[in-house]
Amino acid sequence: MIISIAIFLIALVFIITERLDKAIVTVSGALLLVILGILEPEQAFHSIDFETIILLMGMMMIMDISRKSQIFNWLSTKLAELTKGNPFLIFLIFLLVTAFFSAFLDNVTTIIIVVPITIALTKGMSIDPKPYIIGEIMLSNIGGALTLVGDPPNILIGSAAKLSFNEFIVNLWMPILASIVAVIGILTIISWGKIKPIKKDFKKLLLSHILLKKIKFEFYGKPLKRSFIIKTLLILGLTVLGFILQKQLGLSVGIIALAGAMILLMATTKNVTLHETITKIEWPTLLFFMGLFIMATALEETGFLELVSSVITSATDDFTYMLLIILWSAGIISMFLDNIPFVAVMIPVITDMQINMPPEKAVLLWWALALGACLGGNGTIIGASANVVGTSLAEKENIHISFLGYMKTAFPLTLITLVFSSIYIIYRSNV
Amino acid sequence: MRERLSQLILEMESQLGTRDMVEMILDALLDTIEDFNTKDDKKFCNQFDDAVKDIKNTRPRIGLLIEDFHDIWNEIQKEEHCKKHEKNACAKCEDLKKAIKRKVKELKKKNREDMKLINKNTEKEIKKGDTILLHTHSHTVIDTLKAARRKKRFSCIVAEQQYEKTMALIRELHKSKIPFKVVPEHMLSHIEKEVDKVFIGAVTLNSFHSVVSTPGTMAVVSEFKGKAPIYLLMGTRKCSFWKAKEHHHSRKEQELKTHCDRPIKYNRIKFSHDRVPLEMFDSVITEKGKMTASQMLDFYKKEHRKRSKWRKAFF
Repeated sequence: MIISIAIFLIALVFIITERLDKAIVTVSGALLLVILGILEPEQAFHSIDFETIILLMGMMMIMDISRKSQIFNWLSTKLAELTKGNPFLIFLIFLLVTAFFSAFLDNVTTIIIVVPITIALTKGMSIDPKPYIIGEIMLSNIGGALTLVGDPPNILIGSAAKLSFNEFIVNLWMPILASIVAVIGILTIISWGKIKPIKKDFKKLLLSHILLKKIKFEFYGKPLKRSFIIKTLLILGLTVLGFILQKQLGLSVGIIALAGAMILLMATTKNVTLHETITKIEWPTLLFFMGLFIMATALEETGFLELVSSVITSATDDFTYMLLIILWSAGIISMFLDNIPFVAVMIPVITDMQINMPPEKAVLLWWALALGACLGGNGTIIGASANVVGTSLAEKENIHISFLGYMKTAFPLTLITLVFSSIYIIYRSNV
Repeated sequence: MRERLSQLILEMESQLGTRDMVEMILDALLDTIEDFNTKDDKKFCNQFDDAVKDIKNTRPRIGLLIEDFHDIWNEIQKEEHCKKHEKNACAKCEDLKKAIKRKVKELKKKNREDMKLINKNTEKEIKKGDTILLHTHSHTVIDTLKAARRKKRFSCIVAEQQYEKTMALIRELHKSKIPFKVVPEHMLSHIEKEVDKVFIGAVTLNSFHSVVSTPGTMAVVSEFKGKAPIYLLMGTRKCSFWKAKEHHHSRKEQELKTHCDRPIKYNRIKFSHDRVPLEMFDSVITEKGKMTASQMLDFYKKEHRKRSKWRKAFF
């Protein structure tokens, strides 16, 4: 047990300090566990949740092909046109679109799509881009918490707890919607000076209209492959429909995602090749997950996680209190550490905890974990990958968002979203 | 705002050429007056004046843009003057907006008509079988070639310059089915004998009597002076009828770069435009016809004198 814990903790330190690539850390950790005989090779292999890996791979392929089709650029340009250069509309529309995209695409892809055009629009109009970027980062994490495919912790939880795509939406829409409204509302109030409409400022209005014309020219000036875009949209839509009808189809979400990717590849052979698409799969991320699954299994096999589970269950008799412990510990930890290793470790803990519970109660443990892990990631710049990517994109354009600068705005808002989630969990546990 | 506007204008001029950029800004002005929310007439005039001040002082200054905005501003002054004269009141916002829309429509029509005349005048100079060297991203030059292609067979050599500009030129020539080949601008000495004519576009002609043009133009013009006729294609409205200063028509940008495989840092300095003395050109084709460089210079001096009141009021 001690060796497994030591290997896990050392790996965690390397992951936090980023001295080595995350994938190298977890795969090396996993190899060490096998070499030291803590896990048999077959045990290690069987502990990899290939459902999750296939889901991630399928979505990555779909995203890569979608990006090549320029559908996202087309959409961003259309949205920019819709706003007519109104800073408040840019703020509102782009934040809502970020939340929506994040629910169905991965958060990092969503940020890569929306942040550059937001910067182009706001910088072009001499408006401070920071409220927009921070808002988009937060909404990407909040939106991603809504669905099974929106955020990696949810993918892990959905796979382990056999929760469907629809169950995530049905059970989480309330706290997520409340969080979206609260975050947008509060950000609007605190940033009003920077996002208020400019209809009474002729110079700014002229600048924004010139900029919109330029953006339209830059995008519409390039030849658009209409059939490529249409096929991409259609198959993306069908894939999401597949997720919604998952139970009726009797297929796992991973199979649906991979099927979507294959159909898209077949339909767009003139525009993309399998070889190109495969090279764009984030293999380090998949390897990271594989290594993590093996390391989490080692902790489970040695009885450590059973110990953790009994500590939590003995900490309190009150089920509601237990849910809040899970929610807030997931939330706080996710603010400062990568939430994926935490969720990977908590999954066997919760699996153990729910053994003697009625299903309608047990499922709340998963929702508490999902909400805490996904929403907590908003608290600091390092809390989620989307945060790091968003602020890096900003830095490239000389927009510096410091750790404290981000936290000053995001941390209180994150606490508010966790409070909403707590209210929801308390309500559900008492119904 | 001025700095941001300058940057935007520079990028757009590089992508679109002067004429199309100005047309785009005029369209943006129409959208702006639609969306501008005020019923306070004085506020409208003051804010419009403020915006025009920024347009006049961008770096680089764009002659055609300033000329057009001066005409619009003049129209507003007339509208204001009429109303004051009539009832000692300010012109209403709606009237001012209508005046701007009317003037913008007029200006766009004038620019299009001027372009047709330049096409017609240039077409006369192109002979069947000519090989025309292009070092430009001017849409004036591209449009004249497209128009001429309908009636005559000729080919082009594209002097390869900044990547995006070269690609844009290639795209247009290909679309118009004009045969062409591309030669890097520093290797033109090898194809001198093939060139029958050189076509150059311009951003403006300034008070130093220099033609402001895409970077690299000076080298190309110097190379071909005396070897092939060098034509400058530009509308007369592009001229800058004010006293130019060094920084008015070119921006200098400096960036610190690192050698590709050695730890050597160096400064790389770029300039947004070249300035070529007018007398380097053999002919200038405008909407008024073909002129020699000295005829163009006389025209410029005459118009410059005529606009002294314009300058006092506007600048």
